[in-house]
Amino acid sequence: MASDYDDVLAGLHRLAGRLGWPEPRALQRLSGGASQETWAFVAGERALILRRAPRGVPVTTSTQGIGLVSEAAVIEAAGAAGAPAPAVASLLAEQDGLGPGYIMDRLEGETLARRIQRDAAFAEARDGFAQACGAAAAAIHATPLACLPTLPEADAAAQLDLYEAAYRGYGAGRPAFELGFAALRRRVPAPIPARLAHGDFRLGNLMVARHGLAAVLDWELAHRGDPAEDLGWICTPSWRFGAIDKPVGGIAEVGPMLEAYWAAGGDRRVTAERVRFWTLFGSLKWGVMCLTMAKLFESGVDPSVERAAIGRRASETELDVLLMLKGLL
Amino acid sequence: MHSQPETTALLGAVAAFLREVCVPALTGREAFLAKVAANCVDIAVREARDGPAATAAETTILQSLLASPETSLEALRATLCKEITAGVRDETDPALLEALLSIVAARVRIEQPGYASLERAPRA
Repeated sequence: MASDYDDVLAGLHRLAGRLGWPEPRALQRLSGGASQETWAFVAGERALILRRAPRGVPVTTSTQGIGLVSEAAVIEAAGAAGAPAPAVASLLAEQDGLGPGYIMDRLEGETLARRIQRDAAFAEARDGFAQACGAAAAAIHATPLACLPTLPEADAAAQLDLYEAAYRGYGAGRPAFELGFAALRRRVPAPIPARLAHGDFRLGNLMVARHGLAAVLDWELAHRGDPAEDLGWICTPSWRFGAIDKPVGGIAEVGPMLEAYWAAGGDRRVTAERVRFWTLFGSLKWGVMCLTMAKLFESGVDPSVERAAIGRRASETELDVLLMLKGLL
Repeated sequence: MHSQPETTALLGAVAAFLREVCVPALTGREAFLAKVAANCVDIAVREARDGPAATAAETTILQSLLASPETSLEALRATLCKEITAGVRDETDPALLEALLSIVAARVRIEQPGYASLERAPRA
């Protein structure tokens, strides 16, 4: 850990020298995932975030992420289109010795779901949450495709194929999953023009400040797809963090989110029914992701207790799929 | 003749050690992972205590749903999966939904008893 810290600090010194920035200080590690590391630091008066590959080594086994260089390009394009996204300060260069990644502004706000849902400090943000999510999604989806790097494209049918293939690959004969896939197959919506989809638009990836939504974070799953996907994902029961009565992140209702989405120029074919399809899909998708975690753990690729625990969350998604099919959720 | 203490009591002691000693002694990510570890031990305790009954109940429910004398749970599940993929049964079948809800809710009560959606599931 200590040498990791020293390596990052040395790399940031090289970067600051290259860009003529003040000396970096107050470095602290925020998180380390399987696909990226996040560090906070300060240069002069500017609070910044470093996002880089784990230990600076590009991830080659990732099946989904678009890579940090594309991620930075997507954030810049979406931000230019008016989406609430953090400003990218600089891409990392090879001579920085930090591996691929980028530096972005560190924004003030909260990402912890339970605090956003409950703390008195966020009461005003909660009041406007549905509208803020609708407007932010509309802005993301309005990003001109010509301004984007090459991204994967997958509509509803393609994503069903993808996740069902993963499920079958695990050899898991789980009746609730089978029923979920079969029900979704019968409900696939007619395709509408593909837009930039954030791909992980949910509580946890939304930076919320006292007055409202400050920024949408974690763009590594961005792709071209059905614009209703993002609005369905934020309603997926697992992302309501216990407040299941309020579909939009456990905070708000779908109706006002859609009204705001349309008012901000979002495609009117993104209807409540289309969003419901993607919410049901969201539970099944998260379920397959939990099965993936279980496999990573069992195969020894990632023997961590965290991976093991998430593996056991597949049953929550089965429950949600069944409750949604029965009209109880 | 059982060895003492019971397996679940051993696991309970481990969970208590993680929560009461490790979590307060650690910070940040390590403290979080110690909590996750304690939750995993809790799952193992509930699995040891309630898992066999849940498996037996699932077998009975599937035998009844499929009108089958088959005793292998694996085989019963495989048969039901085949019927669902073949379109023989779908989500408009109330008996199917009721059976699966009961089975899955029992699993969630072992794996995540605090999961909010359980409030909407049939009672155990």
